[in-house]
Amino acid sequence: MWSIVRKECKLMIRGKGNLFFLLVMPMLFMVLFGSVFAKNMAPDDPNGQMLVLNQIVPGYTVMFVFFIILTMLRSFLGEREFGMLARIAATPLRPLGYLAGMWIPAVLAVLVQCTVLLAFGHFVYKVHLGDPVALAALVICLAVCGTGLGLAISLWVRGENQGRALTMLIVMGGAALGGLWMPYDMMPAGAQLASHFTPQFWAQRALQDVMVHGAHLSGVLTSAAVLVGFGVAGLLLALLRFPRFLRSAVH
Amino acid sequence: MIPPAISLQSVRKSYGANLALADVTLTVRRGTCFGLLGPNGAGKSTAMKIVCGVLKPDAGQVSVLGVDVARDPFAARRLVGYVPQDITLYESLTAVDNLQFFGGLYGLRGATLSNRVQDALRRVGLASRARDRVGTYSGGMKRRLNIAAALLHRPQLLILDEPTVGVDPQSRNHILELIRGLRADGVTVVYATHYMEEAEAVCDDVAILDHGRVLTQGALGEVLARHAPRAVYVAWANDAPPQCPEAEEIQAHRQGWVLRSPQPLTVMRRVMDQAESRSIRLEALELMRPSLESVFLSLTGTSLRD
Repeated sequence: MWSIVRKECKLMIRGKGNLFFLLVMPMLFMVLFGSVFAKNMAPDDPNGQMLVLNQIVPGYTVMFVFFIILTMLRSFLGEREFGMLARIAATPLRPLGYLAGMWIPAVLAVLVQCTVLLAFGHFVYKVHLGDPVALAALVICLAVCGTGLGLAISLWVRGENQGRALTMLIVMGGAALGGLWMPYDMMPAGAQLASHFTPQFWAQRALQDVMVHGAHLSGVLTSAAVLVGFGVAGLLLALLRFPRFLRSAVH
Repeated sequence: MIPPAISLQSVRKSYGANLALADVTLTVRRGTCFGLLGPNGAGKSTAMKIVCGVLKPDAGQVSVLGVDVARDPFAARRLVGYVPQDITLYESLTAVDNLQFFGGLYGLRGATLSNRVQDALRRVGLASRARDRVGTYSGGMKRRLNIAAALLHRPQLLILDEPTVGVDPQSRNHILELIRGLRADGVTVVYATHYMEEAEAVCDDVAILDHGRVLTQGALGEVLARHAPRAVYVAWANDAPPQCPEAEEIQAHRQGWVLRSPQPLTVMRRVMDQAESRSIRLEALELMRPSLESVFLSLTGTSLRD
């Protein structure tokens, strides 16, 4: 399993698109939307500007976490298409070891991504991060959630195009509906209700509770549990599908 | 009794309505190079994947070096090095990175892994390019590295599926030499190919597969003696073929004729007599070397590359 982990980490680091999608693009979004909205909505009010940044920094962090699904999709489908999975299946590695080996680097990537993006928000925009234990726990739950869904989608989709479409639906639809682009309170009532079905809503709410309202771990347990629930559901779906995915690779 | 390297007993495998293997029974002796021959789609890759435990047969028994593959596929996989037809390497990683990855899958670690990686790279002639990204390699170099990845755990049985497809002559020779070297070291090599001349160059035993059935198998010399039609090639300055009652079949070939006969020397004598008596200039008169290509032709009635 650790061979797969090491290999995936190397491939992620050397993949040009990964660095851009997971780190550079969200920082560009933060800078762009931070300067546009914070300056325009509250030009002379530092507190108002901070309110906007408290929406944007966790919002874009959460939004771009779900782009890990694209990275996982490319890894899994690439391994299947180019015969690598069939070759790995001829080694003594257990199927679960393979799955775990592909999953762990994605989790690590999200942990690094969240750390960099939140640190960027803190050092560049002076955004308060709150209780580090609660924040770390939430980031871990968010990583489990995003990568769990990524695992499920990678193994269930018929091809890369379908996977990309589904990922965009989850990333963009979840961001719009989950209150990442505008504060929850400003959303229509129907959208507010629907947002509860997106992991993005729970992640954003919990991050804002910790970062803005000073909540500790005990105050965000429900949100953390929902995020882990999404992730575990994804992992279970992936486990259910993996034998068929493997068969399709070796035939 | 020492069990054979591979034993397939009445193995059957279908993909939906397509029968890939039909009651295939094969035995591969230890320490030999065994050629599994046949055209594309004959069932060679399916047979290999079943031996590696990657595919499950619908029926039949498979054992590798005495290990029942169905009962303990992971133990069987530890004994086997499998080189698939596809080049399965990570192009953005170096040769060393790739080999360390594959070695790790077989549980190799630390200094042992490093030594095995260097050894494998030397063996396939890529030590000087060890730190280059695989994406910068030629097709032949990738094929060699593809083989190196299966040698790290020092398997007792190496399975090569079409290892020379699309390679330059230099790499092809390197691969054939590598196979000879491995066999000399006591490794059993199974070599699946549709290039019959390569099989003749390296294999001790062969089996010819077509449409999922074994047409013949045995020692290379025996198979050639049993099935290769004996033939004489004649080219002479005459539009008509030689008159020869001993010839079972006469076919136009290149600038002359091929006369198939169980008595080729009689045929040659008769052709020479005719040429002399009719004053026809004889340009070529050769006893044709039996080949696996002609064995396949005689067994199936079609050319291998049809």
